[in-house]
Order: sequence, then C-alpha cells, then structure tokens
Amino acid sequence: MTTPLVLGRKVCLLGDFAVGKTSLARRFVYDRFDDTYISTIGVKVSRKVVMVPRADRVVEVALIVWDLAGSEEFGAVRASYLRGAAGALLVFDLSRPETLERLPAYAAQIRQTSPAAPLAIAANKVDLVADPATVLAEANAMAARLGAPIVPTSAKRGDAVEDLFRNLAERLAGEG
Amino acid sequence: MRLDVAEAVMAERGVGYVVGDAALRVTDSGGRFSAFAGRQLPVAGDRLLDVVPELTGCEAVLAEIMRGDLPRYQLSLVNRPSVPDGDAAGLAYVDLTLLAWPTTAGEPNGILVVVEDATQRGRREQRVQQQRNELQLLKDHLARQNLALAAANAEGRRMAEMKTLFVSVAAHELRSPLASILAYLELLADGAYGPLSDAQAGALRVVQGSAERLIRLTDTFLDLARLESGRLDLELQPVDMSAVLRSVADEIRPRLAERGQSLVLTCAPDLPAALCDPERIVQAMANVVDNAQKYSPNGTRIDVDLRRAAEPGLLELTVADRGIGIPADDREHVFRRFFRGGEARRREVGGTGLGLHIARAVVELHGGRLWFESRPGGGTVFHVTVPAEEDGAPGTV
Repeated sequence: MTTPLVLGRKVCLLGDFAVGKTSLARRFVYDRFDDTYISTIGVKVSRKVVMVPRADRVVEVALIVWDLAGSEEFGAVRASYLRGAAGALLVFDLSRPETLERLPAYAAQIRQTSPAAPLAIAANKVDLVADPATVLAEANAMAARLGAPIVPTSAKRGDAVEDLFRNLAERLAGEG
Repeated sequence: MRLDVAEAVMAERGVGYVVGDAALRVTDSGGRFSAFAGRQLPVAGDRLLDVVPELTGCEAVLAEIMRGDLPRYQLSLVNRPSVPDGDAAGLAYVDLTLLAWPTTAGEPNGILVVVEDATQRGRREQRVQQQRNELQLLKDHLARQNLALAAANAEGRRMAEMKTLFVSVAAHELRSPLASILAYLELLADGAYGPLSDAQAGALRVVQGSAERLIRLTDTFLDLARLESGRLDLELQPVDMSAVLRSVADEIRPRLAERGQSLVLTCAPDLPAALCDPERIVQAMANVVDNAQKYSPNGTRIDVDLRRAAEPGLLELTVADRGIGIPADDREHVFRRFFRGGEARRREVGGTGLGLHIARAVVELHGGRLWFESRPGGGTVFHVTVPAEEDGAPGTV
C-alpha cells in the first residue's frame, strides 16, 4: 500500500439553534457529551482525522469541523463563514419538528457558496423521541429533495454520530 | 511608528499578527498572537494552517486575497477554547482579519492575519444569545403544550357532546313508549277494559307509580342534556312565586305525610311577581323542596319562606330543614351532577343526584343564585334568589 493521501476538508454544521450541532461536533471530535445547553456564537472550529480506505491506498481526511451559530441573528454573516466549505451537515432536532422546516434554507446557503458540496442530514436527539416515524417520514422526503442522506443521531448516546461524519468523509475522499 | 510603540499598542489593544508567504509558510509574527494561539510565537517556516487552524479549508479564499481579487476576509467571534472542549465560560473569542501582504517587487503577495481579542464582547453576546435562545425554547415548549392541551380539550368536548347526545336520544326514545304505557294504565285504572278487583287495582297503582317515576327520570335526563348543550330556552313572564310554592307543597304533601313530616310556607306580604319561566321555576323549586324532604328526619318540620332579597330587584326563598346537616367534605360537591352524599348512600335515599344540579342551573339561567348554609346537626338552609318584576303589578300572595 502506498503512502496515505492527506486531505483537509472544511465541513460546516448548519441548523437552528439548540438542535445539537455543538454536541454532535463534540461527540465526534472528543467523544464527550454535556447535557447543559450553551449557545454558540460565531464559529467553533475543531479537527478530526478520518481514515478512508480506497482500493489502492488509505485516504486520510482531516475534517475541519465548523460549528456555526444557529441563531437567526447570525444568518446575515453566515455566508462569509461558509466560504471554502467542502461539505455540510444539516442538523435538525427530532423533538422539535419545526427545526426541519428551515433545512432547505440552510442547504440553499451552502449551495450558493459551494454548489458541489455534498450534504448529509442529522436527525438529532433521537433519544428524546418515543416514536420518530412521522417526523422521519417527512425528513426522508425532504432529504430526497435535497439529495442528502439522512441519519438519525443522538449526540447524547453517541448513536450514529461517527457514521454521519464518516459518510461525509468518504464522499469527500472520493472527490480527492 | 517605532517598533516598540507598535508592540505596546498591540499589547494594549489585544492584537497580534502573523504573516505568511504565498506557500502559506510563516515569515513573521508578533503582538499578542501567542496569547490567542495557545502556543509559542510561531517561527519562520511554520505552516500557516497549523498556526491558524481556522484557515484550513479556506485556501481558495487565501488565494483570492493574495491575487488581490478579495480585499479582505473577516471571521468574527472565532471560539478559542482555553481547554480543548471547554464550555462557554472557558472560551476566548478572537476576530480574524485576513489581508494581502505585499512582498518584494515581482514576488507574489503573502498574507497578513490580524488576530484581535474579542473575549469580552464575545462573552457578553453569548450571554444575551443564551438568554434569547432559552426564552425562545421555553416559548416553543409552551406553544407545543398549549396545542396538546387544546387538542385534549377538543377531544374532551367532543366526548361530552357525544354523551349529551346519547342521553338526549335515549331519554327521548324512552319517553314515547312510557307515555303510551301511562295512558293505557290510566284507562285500565278507570275501568275502560272492565272492572278491577281490589288486588288488581292495588297492583295497577304500583305499576302506575313506577311508570310515573320512570317518566320523571327521562324528563330529568332530557333537561340535563338540554342544559349541557345550552338548548334550554326560557320563556320569561311574571310568575306569582307564592302560588308556585303552594303548588310544590301540594305536590309533596303525600310524601311528607308518609314520614310524619310537615311543611310551613310563609310568604311576605306585597311581594312583586317573579320574572321566570313558570314551568322551569316550578321544577327548580320542587327539586330544592324535594331535597329537603328527603334528607329531613321523620316527624320534623320544613320551613319555606319567601320574601324580598336584601339585594334590590330579587326575591329570596329559603328552605330550612332540621336534618343532620351537610358534612364538610360533601359541601363542595352538593351541586355536582350525580353527586349523592354519604347520608343518601347510607339510608338508600332515592334519587339520581341531579335535582340540585338542575335546580341551580335553572336558577342561574334566570339570573338568580342557589346556595346553602349548613351546620353539622343543625340542619341545612337552601337560599334561592330569582329576579322580581319590579315594574309590573305585584303578584297575588
């Protein structure tokens, strides 16, 4: 096997406030969770390397995770922070179905700055919802429209968080 | 500007900088940069993206700046944790500004990264944002709860309407055959189908009594259904209340006699007529007097008094019994439908528990009030007020 190919890829987390973007990033990067809600302002950048095996080599994808503020007040300057994004995770809160409604707006923002960036949708806080089927059905339809895979996640329990980022890393490695 | 002055200004203002070349290698750094970078001042040759990790993925932006296509690029409130995954309290915030940095003639531009401390502003904005978001979350939560409550209320109303409709239909359907049964019983009792022996006549009276009781029950249920669906209409007219009470007393007299009870009716002189629906007010008064009779011990007296109320424009009726009084635990339930006090259950007093409920609803529909006073062992006094027709001719008393 040849020397690993190293790729740095900027990945933005987008979604309404309190949907769990920071918790997903923290679970992925540090494998930790804190139940206390602390709103993010500006941007929090962290980094984690994911090894993606390919037929002839291992691709080392350094995911530079941009955890962006979810508040509406940040909306006006968000585009500037999205520049150079290779991919994006759109996050909504399964226990607050109204947070699903704004995902197309976030997808449009990322498409404006990075038209080819692959997207994935995190249906977060699956641990809080006894029967997520109804909301997930609606989210699946939206995911199909946006051309993005959807993954039910729980930053609290760690459910599918690694899969979510790895899926994106594999698609980004494919581009490399 | 002298270099030491520039350094002093940067230290005072919390500003640092790092310069990179076209290959994104550090060529210079200074000011307060190390305080924000969480590391020693970078040395020449270090990778710019290692020194300012937030620039990773921004290579295209850096190239645009160096080419002169983009005059500047700014990132406000970049979070810099004091510990790797620190919370907001442990966060420092910096503003990053990227500018082209000219190099010697003929060489491509480099990049100047200016780092400014924004921690105080960031923490202040974070607190405001935190409170705003928490309030919004609370508001959304309350809105969802309100929706759930509204849905539960709607379901409750639907069930109540279904129940009322069922009671109404059932009572209506029962009433027609009962009326027919009563009519034929009367014909039988009158000898229309031949003479009856004493035993037959006695048995017939029992059947008639039961049929009349059944028809009264269906009427009560119909009234309850009308009250609950708001379909009980009143035809108000001047009513002589003393005549109403005499008729109620006459009606109840056989039951008083059975138990050796007596009823004393006292009406104040020169009372005006009441403004009531005659049929409904008779029903309400009968229910109140009937209740007193049921709960009075054998051989006791019931006093019914009619007078002007202390409040102008109202007549007040009191019905006082000499029973054991209403226990404190039962008092708040007395007017609840189907409520039957412990005394009624123990002594197997007849009734549905609807009489006082209907009486109060009817009285309140008239704009009056129905309430009671009771002392353990000291009997109970029910008070009823009804509107008087002050401008009309006084009723005959």
